[in-house]
Amino acid sequence: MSIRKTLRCVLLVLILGGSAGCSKWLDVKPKTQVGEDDLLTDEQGFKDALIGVYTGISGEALYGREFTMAMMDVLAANYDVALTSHSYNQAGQYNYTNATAKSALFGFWSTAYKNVAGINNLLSKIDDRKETFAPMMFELVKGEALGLRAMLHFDMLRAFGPLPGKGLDQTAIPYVTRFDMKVQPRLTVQEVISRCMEDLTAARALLKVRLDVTYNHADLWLAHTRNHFNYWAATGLMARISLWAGDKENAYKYAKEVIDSKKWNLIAATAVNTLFPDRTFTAEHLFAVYLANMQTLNAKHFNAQAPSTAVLTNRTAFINTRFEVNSGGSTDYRYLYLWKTSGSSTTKYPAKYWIDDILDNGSWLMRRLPLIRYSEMYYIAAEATANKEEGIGLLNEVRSHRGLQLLSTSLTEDQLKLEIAKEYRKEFYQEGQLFFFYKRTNAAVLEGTARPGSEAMYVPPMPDDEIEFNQN
Amino acid sequence: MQGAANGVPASGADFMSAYQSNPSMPLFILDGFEVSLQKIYDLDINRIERMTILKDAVATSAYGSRAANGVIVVDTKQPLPGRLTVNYTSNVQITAPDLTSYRLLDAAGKLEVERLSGMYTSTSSFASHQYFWDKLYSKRKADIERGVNTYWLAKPLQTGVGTRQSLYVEGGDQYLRYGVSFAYGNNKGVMIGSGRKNYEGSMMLSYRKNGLLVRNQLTVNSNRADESPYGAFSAYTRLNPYWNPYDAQGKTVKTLDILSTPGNAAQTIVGNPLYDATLGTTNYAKYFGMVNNTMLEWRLRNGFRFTGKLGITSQSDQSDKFLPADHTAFINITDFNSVDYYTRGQYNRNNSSFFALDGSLLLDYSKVIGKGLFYATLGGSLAEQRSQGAGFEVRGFPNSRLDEVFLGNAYLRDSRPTGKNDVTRRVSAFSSLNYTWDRRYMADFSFNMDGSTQFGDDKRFAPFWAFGLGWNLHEEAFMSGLKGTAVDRLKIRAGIGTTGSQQFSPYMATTTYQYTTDREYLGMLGAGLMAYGNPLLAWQQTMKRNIGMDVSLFKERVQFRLDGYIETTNDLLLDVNMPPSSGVATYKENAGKLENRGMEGNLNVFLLRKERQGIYWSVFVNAIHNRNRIKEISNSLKKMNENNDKSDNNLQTRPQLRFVEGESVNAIWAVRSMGIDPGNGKELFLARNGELTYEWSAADKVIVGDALPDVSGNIGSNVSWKGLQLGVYMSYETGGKLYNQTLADRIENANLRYNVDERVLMGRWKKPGDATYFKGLADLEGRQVTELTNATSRFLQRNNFLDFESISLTYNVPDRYSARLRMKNTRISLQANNMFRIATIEVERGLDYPFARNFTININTTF
Repeated sequence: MSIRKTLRCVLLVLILGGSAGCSKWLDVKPKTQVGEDDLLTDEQGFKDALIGVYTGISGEALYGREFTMAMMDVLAANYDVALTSHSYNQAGQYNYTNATAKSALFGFWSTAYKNVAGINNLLSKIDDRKETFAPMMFELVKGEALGLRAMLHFDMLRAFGPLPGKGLDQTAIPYVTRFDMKVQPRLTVQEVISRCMEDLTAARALLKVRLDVTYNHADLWLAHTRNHFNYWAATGLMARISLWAGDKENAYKYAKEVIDSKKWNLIAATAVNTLFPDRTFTAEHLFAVYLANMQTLNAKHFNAQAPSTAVLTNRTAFINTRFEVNSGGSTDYRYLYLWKTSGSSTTKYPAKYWIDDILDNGSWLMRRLPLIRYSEMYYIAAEATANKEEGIGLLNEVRSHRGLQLLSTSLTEDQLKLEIAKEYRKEFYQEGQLFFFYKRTNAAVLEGTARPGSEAMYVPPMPDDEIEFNQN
Repeated sequence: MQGAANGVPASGADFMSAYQSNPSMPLFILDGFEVSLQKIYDLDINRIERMTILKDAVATSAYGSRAANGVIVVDTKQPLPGRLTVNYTSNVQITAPDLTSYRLLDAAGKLEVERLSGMYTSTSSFASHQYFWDKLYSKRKADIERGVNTYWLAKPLQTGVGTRQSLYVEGGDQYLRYGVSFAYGNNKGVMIGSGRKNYEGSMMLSYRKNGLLVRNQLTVNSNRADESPYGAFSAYTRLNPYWNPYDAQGKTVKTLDILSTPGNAAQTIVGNPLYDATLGTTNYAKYFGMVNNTMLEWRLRNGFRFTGKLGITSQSDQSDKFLPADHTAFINITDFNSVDYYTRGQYNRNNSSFFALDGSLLLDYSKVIGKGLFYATLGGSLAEQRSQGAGFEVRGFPNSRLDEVFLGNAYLRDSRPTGKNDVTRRVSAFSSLNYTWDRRYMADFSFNMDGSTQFGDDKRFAPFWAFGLGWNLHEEAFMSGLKGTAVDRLKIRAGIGTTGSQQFSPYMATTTYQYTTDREYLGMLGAGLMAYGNPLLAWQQTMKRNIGMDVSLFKERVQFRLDGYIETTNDLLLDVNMPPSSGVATYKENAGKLENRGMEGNLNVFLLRKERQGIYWSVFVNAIHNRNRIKEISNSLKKMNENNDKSDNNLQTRPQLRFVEGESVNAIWAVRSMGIDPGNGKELFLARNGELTYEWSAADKVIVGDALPDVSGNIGSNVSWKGLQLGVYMSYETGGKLYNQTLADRIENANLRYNVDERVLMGRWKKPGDATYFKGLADLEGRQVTELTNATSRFLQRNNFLDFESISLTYNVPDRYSARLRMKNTRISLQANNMFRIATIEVERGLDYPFARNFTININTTF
């Protein structure tokens, strides 16, 4: 009798009681996957998620290659891609329906918004867990997230949005602040800009807790300030956005704030004319991403190992014109140290990202790709200032740190504008910013190609999937 | 009687051919435990006592969600009491490759095709380019005239002969029984150097007293599979016949040719795969495993029976692959100064282990109350599977003497080890009730709950139920006159039930992050979003309704079974497309309805049955007719339709899936073709509006046929004459259509740089006036046609076939002869698989591995 009873009990427990205990036993997740309820619960989890965003945006589809040194600079006519078999040949002719160009454009859009989704999910949960953070960490993590969101949206606006010169009320891109499956409408340029500024203002208020710029710190999160979206990066970005919107007053204000902070310096000659040159001018990075695979990128594009279908460089005639070698530019550090021959060939390659020869020396000089530079603050201030002399002075400040002669103070407004344009061309080679300069100023001709600028050229189409599924 | 009589495949090989390529593989249960198809294949056919196929909802409900495609239950023979008996089986297997379905060009034909396609005509204005092509053409022509004409396909093949020996010793008495077996198998494959070696030992112990039965079976096995050093068969199908693998002295060369285009520095070096076979390479995988199954059954006096089972499986695998520096895999590294040149040669080593635990408890109760029989079952089971592994690659092996993984130069640069660590668990509870009244009326009800790690958080457990009714007409009073003479059995049954037919990954229901382990950011590892988790995601449920009858007539001379069913799947799991600004491309929703209707019949007839003389002849046929219809789809499928109309990535060379409400999922969409225009070799299409055009457009696609056959199934026959038995097993299909992809890929879209099907030369249009089935090699100006052939009705063909899957001949040596050697139950059998096929479409039979036939000779006897 009792055996029967026991058996019955055992089975009943098995069937009914099973569901509660069993659910826990069944809750097995693979080692590398974590549900959001388990990850976004403490400081380390939020940090891991934010690092996930940094890793995502520094991938090759966005800042890690295409948006900076490859596609975007091809569109700025910085490279010679005339060879018909070259993979960027069609993109170089602004044929945006070509498969390579299309896939690069889709890569920008999808990578940027995918990481915006990651940021949004993080922000939706961080406020509730504030108490799990160490002092200062909450502000840094949340501030960086907000700043990155603004930056990603602004870069999509710069790339796919309409010409700013045509007015700010045209439809542009969606500004996404929540991770839910509700399709966001496309906003006007002005609306996108004001949302960016909102996010950046909130970011600055939080990031203000740490104004120091360090690269050496026991805490991995606080080391390498330049590779996190810091207070100064936020300020610099606000300057850049203001200039894009044509708001010269604010552009000048923010740019000057960075310049006057005394936290930043332009490089000296000793940074580049040594055995281990700092070719990207690391000290000047307001915000740079870290690229672990820098060496393979060089082998792909920038040295003699690069196949003819992918090599990105230009002819000597172009280099000479760009750097005005025959009229005083031959001492320019960017000409002297950033263009090198490779192997036995006589072709010159852009050596900004080369690291094979400096591997032995400190790691902080390598593997960084600048997105916001200190020198750009000078350029913005010079362009935005009402005072022409001040503008010339600011430009000279940069020139003196680049091995160039100072400009005369008697330059006209137009000549100043021209000099600023020349600086953009020299400074931002391989960084993808030049195209946006041309777009912002609606440049009539792209130097090096004699190609006339046009709206069709400056405004690439949005990916098909976005147009199809976002009918708003 | 063996399964063969009922239309069930009779041997392991039959099972493999019937189920191996079946995407809806059923669940296999051997002696109460779940096993893989490979285990059933390896099972000695003589050990099988009984094989039962369960299909309808009630019968499969005991197995829960795993039984969506049916269950095949196999029971092996238990040892018999008495003296020690020894059973010995010896088996020889011959695998013979058959190349008759491949029709590739010979050397002269290939050169001619290249010339006609304009390959030797330079498109540039440089005279030196044309000179390059002329020189190349003359060189190849000279080689052909000297007699070079290599038939590459036959080079790496052999007729593989293998053997399997097994010994089974059993004995025991009324209470304790035991059985021990040993087996050794050594099979050679059709690629030279490939083969499989297997050692297996097992021990079975069972104890039975009063109402208690305890049984334990322990099996240990070790296996090693070697891959051929000749590489992949597909490489041989591409090589051009005017390339000679040997030089003038008869030595095997390494480089066959260097392909380049004038004006372009890039070049491709073509290596000789036969050269690789002369080097010392290694490529094998081995494992060692153990399986232990324990069962306890306790019959209590008052109608209760309690059963407990525990199964443990453990296996560890290792795989090694070694290529020395001289191997053609590295042939395109030509810069002698580069680091890559010094690190040629590779060794890949992978180790993994697997552990599984499967336990269940079952309680049944049966009681007779008057005319009624009541039967109830209650049970639960749980299972866990752990799978772990790690692997790495080492580079730098200058010669084949250094063929150990620790002799390499360095790890592959910038690489990391690969690996996995997965755990899955399953819990289920099951109950069923069964009532039979007066052996005439039956009612069944069953209920089952399954939970698994593979299901989402909110919907971890899924309930399934089934209900059925049956009526044994042959037990009715009004049938008593027919019973025993005409009608042995006439049962009508009907059932309704639900099953789950799909599991979805947990990250579809909960937002999950994944750590990026292959990239660090300043020494930190980040976690990225995997997908949008839809917390509302629910199980996809299929409701099955079926009605059928089982009939047995004329003293079991005629047996047949007929079933009709309607299956509706609601809440079909589908992808919903989102614009990329939402952060994801798709997410999963329950948004679709699919309906499947069909009929299935099974007939087995004894045309001759003379028991006394031992003469039997039976024929069986089974047939299935199935149609499906999409009742409703979400916008994501509508989007997929449009995507499949785009021409990116050569998508259009195959007919794409297209889902439309009201149509079948197997409909084939293509543009209607009017054939090839003899005037210019181009294909003429019929647009939707009825106009003729040379332009192919996705918008003109219509339904040109359906892949589902009208009827499909198996046919076979068994003849026994005294001690001889002959069995034939065939499968057939009729009424379906197939898009003959071979014609598109191998004849019209073929890459002319490598070898192609002979119809490229014979069947393609060459000059105005040719009326051909295939389009032109070159256009009217002599330029090579490089446009791809997209989905066209020209290649849609009727797919009717009859496949002779297996034929077997068995001779049972009468005991009076074998008794002299103290042997009994001696049996010799011959079996052949895939003998031939009668079909309306000739499809090339496999490029990755050559098509081969199997012949087996088997001797089995007992001492």
